[in-house]
Amino acid sequence: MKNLDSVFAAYLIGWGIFFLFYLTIAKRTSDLRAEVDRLKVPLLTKEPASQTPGQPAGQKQRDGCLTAYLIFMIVINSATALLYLVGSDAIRRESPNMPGWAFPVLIVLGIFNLVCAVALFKWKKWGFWGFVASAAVAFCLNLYVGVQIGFAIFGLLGVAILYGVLQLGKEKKAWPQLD
Amino acid sequence: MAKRLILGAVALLLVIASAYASFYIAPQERTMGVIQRIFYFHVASAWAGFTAFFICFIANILYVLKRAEKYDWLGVSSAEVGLAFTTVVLITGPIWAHPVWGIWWTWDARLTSTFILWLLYVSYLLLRTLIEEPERRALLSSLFGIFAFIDVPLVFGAIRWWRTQHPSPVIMGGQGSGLEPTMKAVFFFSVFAYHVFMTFLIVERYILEKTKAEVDILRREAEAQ
Repeated sequence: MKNLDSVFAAYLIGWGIFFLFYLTIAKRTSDLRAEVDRLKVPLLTKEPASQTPGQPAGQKQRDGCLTAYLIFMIVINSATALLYLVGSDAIRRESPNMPGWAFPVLIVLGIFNLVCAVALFKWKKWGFWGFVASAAVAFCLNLYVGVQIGFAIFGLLGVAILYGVLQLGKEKKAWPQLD
Repeated sequence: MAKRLILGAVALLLVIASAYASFYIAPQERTMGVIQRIFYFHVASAWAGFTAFFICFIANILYVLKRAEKYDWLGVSSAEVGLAFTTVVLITGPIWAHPVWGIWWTWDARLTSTFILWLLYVSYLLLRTLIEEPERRALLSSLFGIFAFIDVPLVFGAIRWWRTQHPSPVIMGGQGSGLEPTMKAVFFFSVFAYHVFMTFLIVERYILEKTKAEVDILRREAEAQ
């Protein structure tokens, strides 16, 4: 279909801008909340701020960006699975070259990603490796159904972003906290 | 927190549903073909941006009249969200224009006034970073925000008052304009979806501004001790 790539590019770039904008808000709010906690404790206990962290020792802390990204993954993967489940007829009409077996595979991938996002919420490292495996399967699937290699590689960007988000924050960096 | 999460989830689902409707429910436009489907995203984002700037305008007037800091928070929050939406409009527009006009950009009335609108609100946010004293910053940026909003009706009217390269209005465009009923339904659904999303972003940004003020108070208290 002529110009379909431009339409997808417009939606992807637009949503990317909104998502990045939301991430910056979430990150700034999370940093300020940590600052509020840090400042409130010495006011209550009359001790110097630097000696009293906001959270009890040993409790895992998640960066706001990671929380936002995981929520985004949960919602987007639920929506994708639902879309392929409910709208498969419409998708078949628009993409007649798509093989029939691709639909159940994409539904399973959506549900699998959902499980991985929940696992990361529960500090399980396998959630990340699950995302890597799922992205690899999706990459091969995209190439098989005839998606251009540029767009297929673009799909791998999600894992790179996830890895980056897991490295964000100082005390709240999630990667070393994963089990 | 739970209410904000629900609002965010609803906004995201609505935006996804509007994309689905744009691709699978709206019929194909005869002349432009598939590229016209950007319309549902591009115009809905533009309208949501205008609404955000209108909220900013009202908040700025209220700040000037009542000097309550909550109006300053609302003003800056809606200005930033409006700017994000206008950025999307300025990017998706050329992606649509290139296959249809054969050029990415032209300095016609609609495109130029939209670009000026974007620059005005960038200046609004820059101005805020240049003034240290909170009350002075709020007052000056409010006055600037009221002035900046003058460009919004100009952007809206540009394709009605002048001959432009930009397509003529299909909504509120007078005789001979209009949309096919399904297209119209999808368009208004998209407008609704992006307005809910805009509301969610303004709420989130407002909470950020409120937390910032809380930090300032706590810092002053800590310094006073």
